[in-house]
Amino acid sequence: MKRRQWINSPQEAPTRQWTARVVDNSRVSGRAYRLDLALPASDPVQIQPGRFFMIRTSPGLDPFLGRPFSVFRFAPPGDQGESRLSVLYRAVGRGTELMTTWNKDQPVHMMGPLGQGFTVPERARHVLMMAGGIGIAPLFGLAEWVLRETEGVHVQICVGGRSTEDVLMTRELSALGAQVEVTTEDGSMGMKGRVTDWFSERVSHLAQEEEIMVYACGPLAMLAAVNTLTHRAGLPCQVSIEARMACGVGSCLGCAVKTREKGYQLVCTTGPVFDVMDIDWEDMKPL
Amino acid sequence: MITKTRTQPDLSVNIGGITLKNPVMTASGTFGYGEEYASLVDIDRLGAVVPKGISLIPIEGNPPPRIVETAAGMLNAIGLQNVGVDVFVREKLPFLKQFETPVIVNIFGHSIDEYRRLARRLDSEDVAGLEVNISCPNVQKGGCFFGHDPSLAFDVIHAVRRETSHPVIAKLSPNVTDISVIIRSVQDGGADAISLINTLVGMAIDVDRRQPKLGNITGGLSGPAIKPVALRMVWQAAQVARVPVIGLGGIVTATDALEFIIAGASAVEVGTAHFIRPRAALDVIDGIDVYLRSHGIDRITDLVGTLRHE
Repeated sequence: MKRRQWINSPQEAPTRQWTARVVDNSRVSGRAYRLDLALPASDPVQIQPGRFFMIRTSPGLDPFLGRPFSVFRFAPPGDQGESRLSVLYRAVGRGTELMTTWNKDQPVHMMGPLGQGFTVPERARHVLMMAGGIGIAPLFGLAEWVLRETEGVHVQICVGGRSTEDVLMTRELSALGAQVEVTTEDGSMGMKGRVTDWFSERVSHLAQEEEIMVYACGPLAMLAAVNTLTHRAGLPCQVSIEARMACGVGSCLGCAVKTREKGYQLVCTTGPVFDVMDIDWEDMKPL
Repeated sequence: MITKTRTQPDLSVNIGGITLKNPVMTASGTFGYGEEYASLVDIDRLGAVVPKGISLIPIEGNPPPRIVETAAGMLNAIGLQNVGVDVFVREKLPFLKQFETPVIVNIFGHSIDEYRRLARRLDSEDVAGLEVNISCPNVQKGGCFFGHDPSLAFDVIHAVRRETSHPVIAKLSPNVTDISVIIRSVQDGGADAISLINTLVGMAIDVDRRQPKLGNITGGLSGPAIKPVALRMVWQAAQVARVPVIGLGGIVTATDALEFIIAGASAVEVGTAHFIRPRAALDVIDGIDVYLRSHGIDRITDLVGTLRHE
């Protein structure tokens, strides 16, 4: 399959350590926050959707490690010579709770962009995405890229969560020109059920169409279900996987994930985006 | 009276026959095979590179989750995942050989025969030395089995010694009752230097699931949390060792490294700090240089083991 690759693009931002500056850090919904950062240097022109940054949550020794965050949005340098990087995060532990206290102009130590992002087959005409909760983050960037850089590609994205407060960025996605669907497990917003329920229904209508590409990001249980569904439908699918990691560059070997044919692979360097078929879903354990 | 030095301080050290331009090395398992950090770090500036530990045959490693963050540190149970010595020599070593920096190959085996064969396999390779891991806590019947028993520790180092003309460094475990006994054994076995400490065995539990946070249940604790223990053991080691001591365990800053050197370490290894700051070892080198200048010390070797106490 021919793929559009960005990774070797001369435009792609080089991997490096950055001291960024907080431009905005606000709660989006529930425990989900959006962090907007200004990057000082002017050379990064683009970042492939799906790549990530390691962000340290403390300048000191505790918490010690950085946390991986997918690029939610990236804007190349404007008149002020700063580029803008945005991530979405959920305050779930000590590090992310600390992040919620960051104010404007707080310096942030980070490294990136890292890992392999999404690729879009040249011939794809219909893109279906499934986002579970905070899993919207990398898919948003991908949707934005596809809608901006390609012509005649229909983007349909189902955003799901347990309840209304877990459903993120639907208005923004609509504004970009994506067709947005919503599912909630408690039925408080959109269709009652899960994104995979929506997909099962949707895919039966699409079965005759060709040139479909599926992308998904969310909890591992959801991605395992996506694997079953896309396999059954015979559709190609890429997923972005979350894993604990220490270094982000393939050195600590902490983020290993079992693949079907190549043993353990690293989420940080081989991923975080994988072809869904490459992963051994039987071996997956929740974080 | 202290006079401030105007000339460039001499940072070079000799560790059991290996000449290093400065005393700062990378700790095995924290710097990959070098290539992972090549775009972020000037490898030529490092005192030595110690790549990820190598075994006779490739090892797939432990089931995830393999790491968990703890207070000012982390637990890991990677399970010594590595490409094996043949792939290492063919695909990884040539990359590291591009640099001026000496490469010290960290090796481990599951039996004395495996250690012996590794040493033999690497003897003809142009490497600066071997660091023999007899202390990894994360593999059953793994290296630590050898590092905890004085006579087995002797046997491993002796077997390696007989197969190689390269300098041999024994990497020791902190998970022992009396480190001086192990040090005597590896010296008698022919070690040219010792490095310590490897990780401390630890554990973390998810209370909601009542499950261990690591797939391997226990793992090796590293990072700033272990520095005081590491420093104490390096100081103890330096009292009894006849060979140079390489200190490691939680070093993040130049001050950390200087503590080890004053305690008696002739060189240091920077480890887990690389995960948060790939340039950590370079910053340590720069900081040592500044310290020597400001204290009027001409040679780093003049600082080794100069702890003042009654």
